[in-house]
Amino acid sequence: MSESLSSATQPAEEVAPARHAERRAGRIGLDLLDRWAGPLLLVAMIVAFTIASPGVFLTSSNLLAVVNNQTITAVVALGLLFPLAAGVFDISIGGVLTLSVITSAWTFQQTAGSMPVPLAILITLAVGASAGLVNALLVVRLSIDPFIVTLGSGSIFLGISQLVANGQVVSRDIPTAFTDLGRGELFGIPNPIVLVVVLALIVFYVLEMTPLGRMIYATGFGREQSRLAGVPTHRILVLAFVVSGFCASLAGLVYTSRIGTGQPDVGAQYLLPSYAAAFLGSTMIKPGRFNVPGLLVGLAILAIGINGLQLQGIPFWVISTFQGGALILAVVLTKLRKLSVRADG
Amino acid sequence: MTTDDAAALELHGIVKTFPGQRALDGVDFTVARGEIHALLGHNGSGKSTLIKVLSGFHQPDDGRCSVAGSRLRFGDGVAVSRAGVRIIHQDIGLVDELSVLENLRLGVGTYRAGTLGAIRWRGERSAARARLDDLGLGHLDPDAEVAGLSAVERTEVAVARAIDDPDAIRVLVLDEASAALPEEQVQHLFRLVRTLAARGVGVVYVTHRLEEVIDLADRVTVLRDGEVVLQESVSALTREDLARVIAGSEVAAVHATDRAAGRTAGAAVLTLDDVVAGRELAGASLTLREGEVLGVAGLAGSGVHEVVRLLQGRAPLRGGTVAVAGAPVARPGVRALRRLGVAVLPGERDQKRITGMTVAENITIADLSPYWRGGRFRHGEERAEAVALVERYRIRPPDVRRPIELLSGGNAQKAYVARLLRTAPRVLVLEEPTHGVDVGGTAEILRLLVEAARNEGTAVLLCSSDTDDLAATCDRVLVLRDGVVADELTDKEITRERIVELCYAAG
Repeated sequence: MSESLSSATQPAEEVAPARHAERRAGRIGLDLLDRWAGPLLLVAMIVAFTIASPGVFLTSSNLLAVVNNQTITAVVALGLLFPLAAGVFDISIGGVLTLSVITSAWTFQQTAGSMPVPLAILITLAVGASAGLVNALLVVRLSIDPFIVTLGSGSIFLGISQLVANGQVVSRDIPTAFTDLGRGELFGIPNPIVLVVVLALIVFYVLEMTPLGRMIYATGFGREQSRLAGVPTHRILVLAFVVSGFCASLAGLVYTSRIGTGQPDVGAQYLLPSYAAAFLGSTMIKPGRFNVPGLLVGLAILAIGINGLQLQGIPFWVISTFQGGALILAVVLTKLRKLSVRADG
Repeated sequence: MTTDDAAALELHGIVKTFPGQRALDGVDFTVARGEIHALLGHNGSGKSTLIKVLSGFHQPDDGRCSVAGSRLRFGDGVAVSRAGVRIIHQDIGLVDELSVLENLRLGVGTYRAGTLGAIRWRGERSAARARLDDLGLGHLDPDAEVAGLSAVERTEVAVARAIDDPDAIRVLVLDEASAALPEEQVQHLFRLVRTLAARGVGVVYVTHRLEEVIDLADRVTVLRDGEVVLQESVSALTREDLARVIAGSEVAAVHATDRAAGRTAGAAVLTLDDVVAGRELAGASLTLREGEVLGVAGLAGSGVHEVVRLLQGRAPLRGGTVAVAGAPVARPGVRALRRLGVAVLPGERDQKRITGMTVAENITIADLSPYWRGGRFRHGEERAEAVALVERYRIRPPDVRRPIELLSGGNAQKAYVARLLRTAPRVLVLEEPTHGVDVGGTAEILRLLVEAARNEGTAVLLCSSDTDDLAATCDRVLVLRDGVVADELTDKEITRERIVELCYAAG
């Protein structure tokens, strides 16, 4: 039977090779633009601001300050890539960040500064990861919409923080051994930047170079289909929320160790920029996927855009507008891209 | 200008090109009033594109169209609808949570509103009942929730919805409307189609089932590579003629294999014993052996679909035992069954397609471990294997980096079969693996299944409503009725006619 059948099929369609090659070349050109438009925009912005603010914008002190200011957002956003790639929203990260800021500051205050720094860090990270676990269990076990779960839990985490802090800034007895971590340098580079680089490399490795990363993306693109194909989607979702909570908590530690106090309302400001950067990032380098290089470029575009405009004396409200606009722009770009892919077929 | 003798639908010189692909190359297509015109072709032959040109979804590069003698502008869905053209797609677009009545009112026309804009439900209900009766669909209850309807009833609702004003309808296009229907229910659909044709509606009937063409259609048009290769009256044609023209080459008739003859049956790898599960299975027992292809046939509601869901791990087991390789599986869930080497190809597309990922990624996702060595994912090796599989399964176009959603249904189906066979499963369960797949692709898929059974010793459970597939490939065929295995066919007993006969047999 196999012999009689093997001749049964013919290629469904063949296209003249020359025309095919031509179209292919056209598509590769579009492909390149699709992937690199973001980085190009970043370069263009740097050039424009250098010309617009000569001697102020393109200085090592200004740029270092810009980068250093983005480290907390970067840590949150790198963790956020996991749930986003796995197809779920985690908007509790602001709450988790606040909770971690308060947890770390409060453990020192309660022990009059005698709490060993590594232990305080451990406790804080455990709190963040547990917060992620709570989200995950609600989403996976009870099949509740992740958006709703994390909207609610984020608010609860914020509430707990305010309760613990009693609505006050927690600032007593935070040891210098701890603040040295946030303010110190390694080979002349501020520690938070070193942390971001290391974390980015780890996240990049996991997402791009391990089967786990592939399964995370597969879960995001089609949870039920992936599950039926053998992907342990439940465990992947749990992992995604735990990593996201862990990273938000890490960002909280960066905050407390840099500022030296715990404020019970810090988290919210990092939510929007991390989403904006992640979505902006998903339109470049590897369009259609949340990816680390894209995220970093997205962050840079947001940070440099705002910094450059501020140097021009643009008013304060521009920041929110710029970030919100970037988020919507990113989603619009993704939509347009999907439409063009469909028309291609 | 509308004249009585004008054709219901006339498409002339339609040309449509996509990047890297010439989908339609000067297609002429005419449907007379009251004619049932079958439209056939390979996956990727241009059928779907032609329908999409008609519906206004695609703007053709060239050509013209008229409906009942009036020229129609392309790319305007509203004008198409106003001209009396109705198109029913394979996924018929009903809203499960709404009632039949609400679905009938969806999109077409509006509710007649009373004072304060409130809907007059009583009037709506009697109007719906009248419309259903008029189409010979009196058995449908306007208040029934669509989720609870059988496949054919859903199709009937979709058709009834399309026929909102029987006098204004000139052309009805059924785009693989029968693909999800078991064989015995197709007859209900045929009755409805004939009723409409008798009223002068021109029916375009797109299908892959050649028997249906012979049974139902007056004329047939076959497309290949975007061109019309055959257009004539059906009465002069046989199934084999059509298969040959579609494939564009001599298709050897799919015929029985050396069937179990002389081959000793292997060890039992999957046993269902007195299984009660899902809504339908009521004490079903079967044994699947290593290296055999076991067919499962049955009407809708007989339990075939529940067998698939059970082995997917999605239907709760309420009684009896499921055993793999002799060991009972306590809780047959999705992960447990996968781990035991039970791989399932479900019938529904949205349980298979991971949209947004490439063909390669869709194929390899079931097992990534071969590429993970020394702490690094070997992308090159993955790609090489995907390329080899695309070559072997003749997936077109042969581009593993293409997003899966850009493949035609049949080619995507081959990719999903590749996904499963690549993991060398102990048990391979397939539900309607050749639905929507063209003749050549069907032969290809069936050949791969038989090869897997013969060469790798895979135990194959083929659940299909396509009796040709069953007759061509199976060593044994089980027939399910009322949730139990009612009959078993072996060797020479396995014929298309016998399977159908047993499916219908009473009690």
